[in-house]
Parts: sequence; C-alpha cells; structure tokens
Amino acid sequence: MSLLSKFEAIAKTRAELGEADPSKVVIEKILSPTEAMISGRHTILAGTNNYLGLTFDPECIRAGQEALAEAGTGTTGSRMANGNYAGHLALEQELADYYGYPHAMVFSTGYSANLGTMLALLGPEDAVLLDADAHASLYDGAAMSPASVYRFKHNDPESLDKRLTRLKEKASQALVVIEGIYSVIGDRAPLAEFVEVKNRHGALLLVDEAHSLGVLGATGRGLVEEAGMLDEVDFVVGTFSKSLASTGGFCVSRHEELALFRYASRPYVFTASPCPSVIATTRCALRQLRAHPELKDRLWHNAERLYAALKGRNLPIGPEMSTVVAVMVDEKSRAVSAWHKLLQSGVYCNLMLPPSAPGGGCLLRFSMSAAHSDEQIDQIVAAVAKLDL
Amino acid sequence: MSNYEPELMDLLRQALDQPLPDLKADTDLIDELSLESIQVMDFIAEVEDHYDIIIEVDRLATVRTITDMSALVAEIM
Repeated sequence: MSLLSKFEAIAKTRAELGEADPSKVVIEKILSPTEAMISGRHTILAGTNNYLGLTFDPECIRAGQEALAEAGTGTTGSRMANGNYAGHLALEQELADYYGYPHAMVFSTGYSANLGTMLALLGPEDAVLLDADAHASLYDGAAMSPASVYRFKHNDPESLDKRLTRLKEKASQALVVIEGIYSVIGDRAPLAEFVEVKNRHGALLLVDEAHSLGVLGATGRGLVEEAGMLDEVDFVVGTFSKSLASTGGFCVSRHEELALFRYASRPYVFTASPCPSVIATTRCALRQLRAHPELKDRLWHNAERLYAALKGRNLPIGPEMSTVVAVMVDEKSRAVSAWHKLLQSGVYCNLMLPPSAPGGGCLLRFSMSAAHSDEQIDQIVAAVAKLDL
Repeated sequence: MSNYEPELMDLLRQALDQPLPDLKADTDLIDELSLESIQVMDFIAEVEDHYDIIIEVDRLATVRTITDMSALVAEIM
C-alpha cells in the first residue's frame, strides 16, 4: 500500500466504463445553448443546466466583450489583497436589491459560495443539519467547518424536528441546510414546513437555490419566493453557472451580519475574484432574467413536455414534474449502456451512478432549457423510448 | 455480542427490505454486503430514530459492521 494505491480502484472503474465514460465527452464545437458537435455528431444538449438558455445571449456576450476590452482578462488575485473592482460591488448591490435584502456576497464559484458561507458562519460550538440529498459542496462546507455535523432524511421536516429536539439547547446554535430544487431528481423542498420547524427551535436556515434561481418564483428568486418565505429564510446561496450562464456564486441574507462574512470566510479571502468579463456577463444575465419572465415560462413548458412524454411511455421517472427529469435505471451496466446509446443517437444527458444517485440506484438526468425547441424535446423522447430500460 | 446487535440486524433488514440470511455481526456492510455509502447512511437514520439518538456524521467513518454500530449506539446511550 502507498499513498497512490487508492487510485487503482479509480483506474479500474474508469477502465470498466471504456468509451462509455461521461468524463471523456469532448464538446468539439458548441453551436447554440442546446446543440453541440460531439464525436463529429450533431448532438442535442439535455444535460447542461442551461435553464434560461442565456449562454449565447447577444447582450451578455457584448457586455463580456466590452469588459474584456476595458478591464482586462483577470483580476490576478483576491479582493481582500488586490482590491474590489467596481463590477464586483455593483453585482453585489444588484443581487441584494433583487432579493430585497441588505447585503450580498459574490464568490468565484458556486462551490466556494457554499463553502465560504458555511465556514464563515459555523464555529466549534455550533451544529449543522444537512438534508440527506444535499449537494457535495454543502457536505464539504459542513465537513470542513468545526461544527458538529448531522444529517436528516431527505425532504422530511419531521426528521429534522426530531434531530433538533435531540440537540436540546444546542438547537438554537444550529444551521439547517436544504436546497430549493434537488439536482438529482428535480424534487423541491417543503420549505414552509422546514421554516416552521427551524423557527420553533430557534435555528437558522440556509437554502441553496443553485437549480431554482430563475426557475421558481414570480420574479425568478427561487423556492424562497415561490413559497413566500423571503422574510423567513436566513441565507440564500446560489450559482451563476446555471440560469445566469456564467461562473461564480453568491450568498444573500436578511441578516446585517452578512456584510462581515467576507472577513471570516477563507474560501472568499484566499481565492482570486471573478474576472471582469464574468462579472459583466453575470450582471447582464441577471438583467435579462428580470426583464424576460417569458424565459421561465418557456422553460416550464419544455419541462412539462418532456416529463409528460416520458411518463406517457411508462418510463421510471422522478416523482415530481420539474426542470430536471430523472429516468431511473436499476443496474449500473444498463445505465451506462443507455447513456452511451443516447449519446450515439445525438442526445447528451447526465449519467449518475452510486453514490451520486439516491437509494443506491442509477439514473439518466435530463435538464431542460428555455432554448430547447419542441422538436428537440420530441427527439430526446424518441431516443429514450428506444432504450432498453 | 453486545445488547444492540440483534436489534440492529433487524433494523438493517427492515431498512433494506431484504432478509439478509448471511448477515452476521461482523459482516462488512460495504465490502461484503455491497451497500452503497448512502444506504449505510439511510440505515443509520433508522437507528437514530429507533433509539431516539443523534449521531454525528464524522463518527460514521468508523462504522463498517453491526458490531461497530452497536458499540457506537452503546456509547451514545
């Protein structure tokens, strides 16, 4: 045994996948928000989380090009050491205004937004309770913190209630962590019930809206808006890499103390800040999101079309109609084969294998975009219908 | 065999909805039963509710068998 021995198992797993390995997919040329050339084949992209289809928005592209010309290619360091660009501050103000909160904080990735928020907030006397299906970045944020980490059953407020009760007085120093829409099978959290439980115990609640920003709520502010809980939730984190078609992440809060988080957040302090073009395209995409609610409507039209068509064929899909649609496959080899066949037939989706998929199973994950056409969705359905599932 | 092992084996059978005829107290849940880590976590949630306890996630790194789980429950109880 050596430090490197652990890679033998990884090498074996990758070798077993052979050519049917999602990590080997090369997008040779990106043609539009929903199309690319992969292995020389025209392919429909149905696994990119490009919910509003803004990656080729002309105004966003122009904003990015202008920022490149005016402010250069990168910031070359952290905001704490190298200074803030005006764009960083403007984006934070625009996010705070959007949510109606006093403060926002911008991070270089969605992953670091979760780490940075949780590491600033959690101390050794605190507790953090994670939904069992929470994203890896939330687990990592909890694990890297000095707080005691617990887990409750997925989307189960009663399970949370029991665990907060067992924590006794420590419950008032607990952070509860959930997501708006869960990325694996597209189900959403029963937010009002979670809020009632956390308020009763005096805990705080963080909601990761990575997959629900721009997707839920009358003005796209996610599940917190849809559920009418903007005044009840304590922290909202999100990413720029999905609906906002860029990279980066953020935290917004109704608590004034968020303004001080940046002085206590190592993932914020010790990371280079987002480059000017990324900030510019993100700001533009946020404006587009707010100005064009029809994008969200089109996204849901597409989600309904895909979900209804797959359900109509009696395929084993997730329990809830959502912009993320999961097709369950019970056996790994069949899941891998199905994913590869789809790719060969010109449809790119995500292959999820244990432990990423819930219940120890496997699934094919499709994420819809406002930019998908009805014809593309019909092609996706036709390709899935040919699989042996 | 500590007091909790038979009860924990029943809880695991219930959680997985499988008879597990070869399950023993020292069966490695991951290597021998081929449970995914998430299934082990789900089993532990059942254990928490059964005994009305709460277990820190980082304590679970040491749990590979029913015997390990029993020792952990005994420590917390």
